[in-house]
Amino acid sequence: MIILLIIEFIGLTAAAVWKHDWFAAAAGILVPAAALIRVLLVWDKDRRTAAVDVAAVLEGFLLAWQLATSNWPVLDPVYFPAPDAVLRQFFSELKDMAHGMVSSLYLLGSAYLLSLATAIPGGLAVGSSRRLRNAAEPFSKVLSVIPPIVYIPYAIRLLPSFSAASIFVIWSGAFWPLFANTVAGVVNIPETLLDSARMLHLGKRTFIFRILLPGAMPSILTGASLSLVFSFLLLTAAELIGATEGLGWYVKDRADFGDYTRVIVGIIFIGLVITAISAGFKRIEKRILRYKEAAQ
Amino acid sequence: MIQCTDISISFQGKVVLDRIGLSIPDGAFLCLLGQSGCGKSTFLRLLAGLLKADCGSITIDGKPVDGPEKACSVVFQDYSLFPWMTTGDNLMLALHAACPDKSKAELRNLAESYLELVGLGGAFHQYPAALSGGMRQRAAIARAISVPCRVLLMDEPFGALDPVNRAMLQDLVRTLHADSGGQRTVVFVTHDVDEALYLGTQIAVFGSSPGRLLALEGNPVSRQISREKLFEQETVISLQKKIMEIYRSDMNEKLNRKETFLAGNGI
Repeated sequence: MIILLIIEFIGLTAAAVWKHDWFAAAAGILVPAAALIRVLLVWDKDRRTAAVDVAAVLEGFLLAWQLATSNWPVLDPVYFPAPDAVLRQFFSELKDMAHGMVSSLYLLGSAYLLSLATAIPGGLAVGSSRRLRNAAEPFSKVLSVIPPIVYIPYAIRLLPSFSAASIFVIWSGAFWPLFANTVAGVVNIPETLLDSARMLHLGKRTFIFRILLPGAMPSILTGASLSLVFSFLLLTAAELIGATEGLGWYVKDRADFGDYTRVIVGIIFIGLVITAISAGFKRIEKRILRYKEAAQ
Repeated sequence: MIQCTDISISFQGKVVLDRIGLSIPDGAFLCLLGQSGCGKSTFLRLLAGLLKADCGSITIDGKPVDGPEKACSVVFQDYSLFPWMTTGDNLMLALHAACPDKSKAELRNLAESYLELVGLGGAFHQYPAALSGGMRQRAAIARAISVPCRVLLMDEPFGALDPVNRAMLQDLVRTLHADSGGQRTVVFVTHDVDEALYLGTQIAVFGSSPGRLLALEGNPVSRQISREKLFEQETVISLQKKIMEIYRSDMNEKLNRKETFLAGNGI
């Protein structure tokens, strides 16, 4: 793969410099450079190989894109702008997109926190009472399979603002996976462990916060990461329909004007933002569940 | 004194325990011996108040057991410790619930001293996942005896341990019981006859399907004598033989019952 990467690197740099596509040339250098730095810093053999493989695929994609648009424009330039133009645009649009990101993250954050605040207590209560569980099951079965997007028209009619409507829609999508996983988490706490807790005669608060919640936590985190994915999907869907700012709106608005360079820029930016948030989530998850690692 | 009168319990129509009557004097070390499925763990849960008998009564020092019993603490085969807390926090949680007036520093000192008592001085900040099975059971025992309780219930606590660890923990439990000077009663569930002979001052033998008390034997020598010498004792050997004989006749009876049942069906 290293040889392939080097060939791609030489090809991409030459092609980009030939057309004076300086941004594309810089990208062509940065990708293998990043792989090189990772190989030098990481000692694990599998991860080093992976770094080179990923770089080779990415460099190959950039090379093909560069050749098919800039050097020999076989693709329609309206829909397929050259990498150089996209990269140039990416940096000049950063400020606008950051603004959109703040608006999107406000919606996402509020809706997500709302779903955490409702689904976890609800799930703990339903999970620890057989009677509540039997009563709630038919409702959660029917309601959880309805795609939340169908609530959008209603939400927009009934709720005072677009923000409130999209927060409601995102919440209704994020709620169920989190709720169902919290219930399952409580139900799956080993009975012996609960018996141990019962014999300690803990207070109600202590029992909830030190036994039930941490006992269900692995499952709650699974639900929370699913919910996060649903939140992103619904956020973008909601923004495509009624927003006046935000990342989803950014992409739709530029598409309406036929500005496909900015559409691609927006898509790349959304991808980066979601990746960053997911990575942050994984770190938090690992920190919370660190007790599972058998040390030494 | 634990007094059980005519306890029966069944699950889904199947009789698990059939009219158990048993009284356990203060300071006794009672081993409940029986094959798997004979209801000895169910009996332990009844004593703890984690289950309710269909009929019959259990009293501890004259007070009927109703709901998780304050006088008892329990060690299970696994899942005694909460895996999301460090060993120290596990003990401190129990201590705090038992003595809410103590300050955090006092609880901490107590927890540390009990961990030291079971030979786990350095494990305060370790999570249970980082401990070996034997160390985990030591910590569970430390937690169980750290709270002021008169009855210690142990449900096959060493069943999942390797022989070396098992022997070490048997010694520990025996020493702890001897040191309590008759203040603590232990009820210990096991299916291992030798373990029961080594630990118990009394041995209750359970038969299976339905679970019932077959015999209650005293084991007077066990406190004074080392493990090596124990199985050279005439009394211990004869008790061992006797228990095996009880087991065998229970098994034969069960097999005969099955045959009659099949014969009755005309096969």
